[in-house]
Amino acid sequence: MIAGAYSDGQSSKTEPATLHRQGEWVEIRDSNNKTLRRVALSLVNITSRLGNTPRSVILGAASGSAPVAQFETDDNDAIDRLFAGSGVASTLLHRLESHIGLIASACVFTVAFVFWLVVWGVPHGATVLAYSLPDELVSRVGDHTLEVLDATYLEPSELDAGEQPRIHGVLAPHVLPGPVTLHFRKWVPNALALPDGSIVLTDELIELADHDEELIAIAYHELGHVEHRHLLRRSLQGSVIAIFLFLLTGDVTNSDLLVTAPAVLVDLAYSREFETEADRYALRAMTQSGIDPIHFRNIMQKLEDWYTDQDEDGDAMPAIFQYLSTHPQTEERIAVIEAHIE
Amino acid sequence: MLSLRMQKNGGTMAETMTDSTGGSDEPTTGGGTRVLPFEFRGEGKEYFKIWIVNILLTILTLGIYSAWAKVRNNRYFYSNLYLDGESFRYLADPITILKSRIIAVVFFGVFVVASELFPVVGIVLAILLLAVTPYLVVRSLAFSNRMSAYRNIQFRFNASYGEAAMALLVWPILGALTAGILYPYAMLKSSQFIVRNSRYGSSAFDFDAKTWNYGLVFLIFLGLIIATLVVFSVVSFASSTAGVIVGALGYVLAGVYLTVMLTNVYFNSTSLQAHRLAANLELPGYLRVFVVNAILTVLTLGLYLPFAKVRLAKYRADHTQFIAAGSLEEFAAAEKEQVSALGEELGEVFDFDVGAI
Repeated sequence: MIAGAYSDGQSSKTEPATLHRQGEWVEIRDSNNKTLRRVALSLVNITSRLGNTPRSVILGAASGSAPVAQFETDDNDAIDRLFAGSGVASTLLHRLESHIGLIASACVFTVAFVFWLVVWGVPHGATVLAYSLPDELVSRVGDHTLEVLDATYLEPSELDAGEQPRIHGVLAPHVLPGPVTLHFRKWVPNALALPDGSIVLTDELIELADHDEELIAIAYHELGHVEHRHLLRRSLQGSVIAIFLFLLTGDVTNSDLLVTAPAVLVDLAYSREFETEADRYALRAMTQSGIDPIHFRNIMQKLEDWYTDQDEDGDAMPAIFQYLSTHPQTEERIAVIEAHIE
Repeated sequence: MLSLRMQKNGGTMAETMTDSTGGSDEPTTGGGTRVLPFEFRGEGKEYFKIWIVNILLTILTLGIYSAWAKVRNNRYFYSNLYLDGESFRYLADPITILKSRIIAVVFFGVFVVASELFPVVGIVLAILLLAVTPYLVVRSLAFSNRMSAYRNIQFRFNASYGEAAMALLVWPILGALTAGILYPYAMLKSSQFIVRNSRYGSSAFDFDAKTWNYGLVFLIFLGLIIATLVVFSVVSFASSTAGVIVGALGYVLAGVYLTVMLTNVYFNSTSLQAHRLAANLELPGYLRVFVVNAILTVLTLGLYLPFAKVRLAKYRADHTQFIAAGSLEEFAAAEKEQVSALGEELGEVFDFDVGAI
């Protein structure tokens, strides 16, 4: 006999009651020992044990929303004993959740797994997938980027008339075989490569460069992004991380920031890795073309100086912000180039 | 759009009981009303074990177990929330949730791929999604309400598409278009829409907040944001690091202020027949819970998260009450209904995330 409370499901009234089992029958009696319900065991459903929460014994088939009588009790142990072996009271998950050894292993495993997933699993999987997709498909990814940028940040170029074809002539032999499209815009010193192989250069960047080789270095870096399918890989990686987080925490309520912040930080880390890969590509390409890598270093330093000057107090970015940045610290990048030169 | 939460962890309609036998040591407000505090009896240690096993099994089953995990997580928070000696129950069946999640993930995948490859299709889909949102939100609320019960009586939610579209699309858009002037009114309409279409059994809830309740909160919130920006600019002259820290703190403060005030307005304006809800969350207390949660979660690489959820649920329960005008035993069940889980799962995938607080 187990003590608890009975409710018939028609109203919110609950009354103290006791539960009895007689073989294949379950009986609920009120405090005067009068029978309230008698149900065959096969029609009884007992919620699985969950921590110390009350156990519900549902007396009858629980269909979508028809009121069903239930008996509720805090005495989980008694329920488990009474219904042991009948297959009605499930405690498997509870036992897993109480097993200290399992808990400890789960902690270690989870941390290790997430670490592996983020550092190796997701990037590796995305790389394999990105390279196995047909070129045509890949070049479509992000091909509306220029329109969006034109509508937001970019303005038409104000370069002298002769400059554009001249630069085109300078870059053409070095970039993708076949006609390359160059887009000139006015914004801040910057360059972009679009997945279809075209490159966007800004007037300000061209102004900043003293030698054409510096522009070639930048172009190679951007082509590195295209060659390595970075845009696609970043999309894939971001999506997988998002789905993973949804599966794990789809019902997380008030900690939203705590869940999305890591996803953002991971995406930024991936971005920095892509930048490093593009830098390496540029260095190799420059060496192959017989262009002095020092030009890459120089233009990078000039860009850094330009952007630092924009900052009122001229501080270099405090160290902590490198984790919030899409690019590795410029000092690091320059160090890599200088190491390559030796 | 502000995301509000209802009936999820911490529960809206669950209460705590000061003294289950009633009597003279219960605070009364005269005229036979009893103030019944909510009580959350969950423990971080206990929940952590459930939570970590959920994650382990979800990973090992490549996500299939996530449906069971969701049910167990919700059950834990519902069943540990007590009012007048009784706890709430979460009734959903994992299989239903699983089916819907699979459909939802497929939708999400198609949406992302289509947007990347065919931007026009992506835009069209986004517009379609916007139009379908009210429907999905209604389905989502109907499902999660029906899956919630107290004293073996299920909650309900029913609303027409038109009403949902007004409250969830039209008014918020107007609010945005008028540079925020109509936004408090839009928030009022959303909350009214949700509460007045909710029922406990066959009894409807009512909502009596005024626009000014939201307007005041909104104004102060804006004030906090502006103050943060000003302080940020001033401090940044001296040091940009300090500036960012100050800015981040100000942002957190403003966000917590908003949550606390909106929660209080929401509960204090909600009534069920002759009974009422009340809430008195406080900025310093909530801020402390939030900040400690954030710091400890980061320090433990996320393992503190279940403890954080429990702490927050406890805080909210401790500051929410049900003011009973009589017995809680006289509510009648609502009629039969059949609702699919699809709405709720699609809602989750696209982050509709509606409810109050």
